[in-house]
Amino acid sequence: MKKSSVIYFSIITIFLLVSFSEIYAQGHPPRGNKRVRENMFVLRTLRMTQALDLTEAQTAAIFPELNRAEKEKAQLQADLAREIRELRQLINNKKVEDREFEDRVAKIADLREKIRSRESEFEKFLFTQLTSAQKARYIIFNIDFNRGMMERMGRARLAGKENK
Amino acid sequence: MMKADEERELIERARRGEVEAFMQLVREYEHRILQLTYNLTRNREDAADLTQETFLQAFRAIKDFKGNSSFLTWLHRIAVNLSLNFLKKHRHASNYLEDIDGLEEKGRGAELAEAGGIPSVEDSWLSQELRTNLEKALEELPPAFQATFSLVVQEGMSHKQAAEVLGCSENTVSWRMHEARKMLKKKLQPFLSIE
Amino acid sequence: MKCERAQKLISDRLDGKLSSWRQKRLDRHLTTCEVCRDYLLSQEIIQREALKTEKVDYPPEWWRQFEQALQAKIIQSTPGEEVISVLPAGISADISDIKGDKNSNKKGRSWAFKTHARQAASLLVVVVVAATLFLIIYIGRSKNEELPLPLILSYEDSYFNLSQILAEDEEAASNLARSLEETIIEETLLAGPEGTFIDIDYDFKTDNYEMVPEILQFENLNSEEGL
Repeated sequence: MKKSSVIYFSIITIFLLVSFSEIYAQGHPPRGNKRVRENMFVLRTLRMTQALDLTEAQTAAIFPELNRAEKEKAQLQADLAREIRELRQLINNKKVEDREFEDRVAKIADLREKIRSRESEFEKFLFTQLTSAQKARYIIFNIDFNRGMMERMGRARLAGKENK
Repeated sequence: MMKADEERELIERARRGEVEAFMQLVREYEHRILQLTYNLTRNREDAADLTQETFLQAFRAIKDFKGNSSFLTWLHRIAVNLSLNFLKKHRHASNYLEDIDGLEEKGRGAELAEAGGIPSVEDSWLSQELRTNLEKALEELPPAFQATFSLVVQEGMSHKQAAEVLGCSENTVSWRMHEARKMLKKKLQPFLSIE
Repeated sequence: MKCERAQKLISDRLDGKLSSWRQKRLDRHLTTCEVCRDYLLSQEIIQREALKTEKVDYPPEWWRQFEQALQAKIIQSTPGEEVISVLPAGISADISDIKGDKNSNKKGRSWAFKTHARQAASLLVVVVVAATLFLIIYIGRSKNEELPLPLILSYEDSYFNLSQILAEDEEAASNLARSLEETIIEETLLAGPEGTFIDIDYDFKTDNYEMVPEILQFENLNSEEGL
C-alpha cells in the first residue's frame, strides 16, 4: 500500500465522516457556507499533505490536532458570522442603545481574537512537527491556497450570474 | 533574436534613462506586440496606437521591472491591460466590416492554401462564414475571456505563460478557456457543419 | 464522467494541458458519448479557424516613423527628468527641438549626481522604515517567542472574507461547494484506471472519532446523499 494512497484515503474518509455526520444529525445536507467550510478543509488538508510531502508519522501526529482545531475554528467562524449578521440588522435600528453596540462590537472582537489565537496555536504546534523545508513550503502553500480560493469563489459567483 | 544577457544589459541601461537602449528593446518586440493588440482589437489603427502606448508605459515603468518574469511577458501584460481597457470603452462594430473587406482582398488562393486543400465551393463559403462570424464572436466575448483566448490560441502561450501575463492562476486560465470555448460554440453553431 | 467535465477536459486537451491518465479517461468517455464527440469536433474546427488570424505588419518605413514618434513622446513625457539620449545624428536635433530651451540650458551630466542622491535618499528611507518595523515588532517580545504566522498570512482571515461575500449569495456558495467536491473527488480518485477505490484496511483512531470504514467504493462517493 503506497503511503500517498493511505493518506488520500484517510482524508476522503474524514470528508465522508463529516458529510455523513451532518446529514444524520440534521436530516438534510449542510447548507451553502457550511459545506464550503467543510470542503475547503478537506481540500486544504489534501493539498497540504501533498505540498509538504508529509510522512505517515507526521500525518498521524498532525491530523488529530488539525481536526480538533478545525472543529473549534469552524464553530467560532459560524458564531462570528451570526454576530455580524445580527449587527447588520441592528445598525439601521435607531432604537438600539450605545451599550448594545458596545457589547456586540466587543463580542465580535473577542471572537476574532479567539479565531486568530487558535489558528496561531495550531500553526505553532504544526511547526514543531515539520522540517525547515516543510515550514517554508507551508508558507507558500498557504498563500497560494488562499489566493486560489478567492479566485474559485469569483468563478462560482460568475457562474451563478450567467445562469440567471 | 536577442540574447538574454544582451537584453539584460539593455534593460539596465534603459532603467538608467537611456532612450536608445530602450528603443533597441522596442525594435525587438514591436512586431509581436502589434500582432497581440491587433488580435484583441481587430483594428490596425487602434492596434498601432495601443502598441505605442504599451512601449510608452513600459518606459515610464521600467524602473519597477524587477525581472521576476521575462521582459516580453511584462510587455504582454501591459499590452493586454491597455487593450482590455480600450475594448471596454470603445468596442464597436466597424472592425467587423473592415475585416470582411480585408479577407476578400486577400483572395481565395491564400485561403485555400491555408486550409490545406481545395474544398468545394460550398465548403469555402461555409469556412469564410465561420471565419467572419468567429471574429465577431471573439469580439463579443467578455474582455478577460477574449484576452485569455487570444493569448493561448493565437499567441500560442501555455496556460502558465498566459497566467503570468494576465496576473491570475493557471486554473483561472484553464477555466476561462473552457468557458470561452462554450460561448464561441454557442454563437457559431449554425456555421459548424459537422459531417 | 459527466459531459460537462469531459468538455472541460476537451478544452484542456486542445491547449496541450491534459495529463496522460486524464487523456485515457476522456477517450473512454468519448467512445460512448456522441454529444461530446461532436463537441470535440466543433472545438477543433473553431481552434483551426482561430489560428488563421490575419497577420498584421507594416513596411520598414512605417516602423521607422513609429519609432521616431515613440522616441519623441518618451522624451516629451518626462519633463524635469533627464533622459540619456544617445541618438543617431539627425534624430537628436528633432528631439532637442521638442524638449525646448529649458533643457538645453542644463549642464552636462548634473543629472547623475541628482539621480544618485535621490536613490541614496530612497534607500535611507527604506532602511529607516524597516528598522522601525523591526523594533516595533521585536521590542517587548521575549527572545524565544516566534513571530506568529497569522501576522504574515492567515487562512482564517481569508476564509472570513470569503464567507462574508458568500453569506449574501447562496447560489454562489452552492456552486463553490460543488466545485470543491468535484476537485476533491478528482484529486483523490486517482487510484485505479477504472476510478474505483482499492480496498483498504486502515486503523486510524483519534480522540474524537472512531475507526474508518474498511472499504470505500466509488458508488458511495457518487451518491447524492453523500455529496
